[in-house]
Amino acid sequence: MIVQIRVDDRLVHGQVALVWSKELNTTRIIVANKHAMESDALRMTLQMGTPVGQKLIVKDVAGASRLASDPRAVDMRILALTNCVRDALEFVKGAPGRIETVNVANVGRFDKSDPATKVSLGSTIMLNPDELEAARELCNQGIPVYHQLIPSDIKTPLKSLIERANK
Amino acid sequence: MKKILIATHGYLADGFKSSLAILSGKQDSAEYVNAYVDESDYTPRIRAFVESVGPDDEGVIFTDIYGGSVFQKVVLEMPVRDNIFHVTGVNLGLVIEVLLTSEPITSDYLESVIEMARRGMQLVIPQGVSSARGGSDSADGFFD
Repeated sequence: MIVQIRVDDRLVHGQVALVWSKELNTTRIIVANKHAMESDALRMTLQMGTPVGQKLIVKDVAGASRLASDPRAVDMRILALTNCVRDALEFVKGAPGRIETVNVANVGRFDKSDPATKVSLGSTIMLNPDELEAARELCNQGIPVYHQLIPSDIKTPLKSLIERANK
Repeated sequence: MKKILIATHGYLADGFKSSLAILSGKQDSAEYVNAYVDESDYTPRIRAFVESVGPDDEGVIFTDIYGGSVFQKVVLEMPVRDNIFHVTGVNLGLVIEVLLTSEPITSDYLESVIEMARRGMQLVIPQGVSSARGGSDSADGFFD
């Protein structure tokens, strides 16, 4: 079971993997990102950012959805990572019933889209129009979608952040 | 209750506090002594910490460097009790592991964590990447 899809524009890095794997009690990490899947160098650094004892696999979103839907994944606790909201949405749609929650943590700060078009939902969430649309749709997938940077923070529903930004 | 003190020369202890805040948000689960940054005597703070570790608590004091003066002061203040420990050569990997763990703090546990932290200190040599990425379809042993 994918206990959480975390949307983080830095994907796997030491703090995310370590802290969240402990918090969620997960044993495996799926990175759902086409560019990472295709880049040897990026896969290597992601592997280095993965704590000892955790298994990492790097796929594109379709491949990650397939893994999440695998019968063997049902009883495993897995943390998944995407670097944008659109990918998280496609991942959720591709693996119905296999995703427990989505945590939109850090996104949109480095995506090179025109800053003038971006809506800020907080200091770490900047959504261009496509991402904002994906965020709205994600909130309607029937699973909790929230923003929680570190485990000691409260979970703020993404829907309320979108409404607060009045968009 | 788990009680942690980090005692170092200068602001290294506060440095750990800053890193722990970013990595875990749980920096207030530990106490910090920045020794020698002013004229004050820090020994009473170490003594107070030792006293605050009650019979149902588990205490760990981390110091910066083996044989240093902070280390020596802690050695002199350490009681003979089986629920409080002194670990020196403190590093971030070690502290964050002990801070976040739900394992009971025993000497065996600390020895194993120290060993893990030791392995984290290494010359970084880029490794050959696992060549068979298997394409989008394969599970590459993920479920094994």
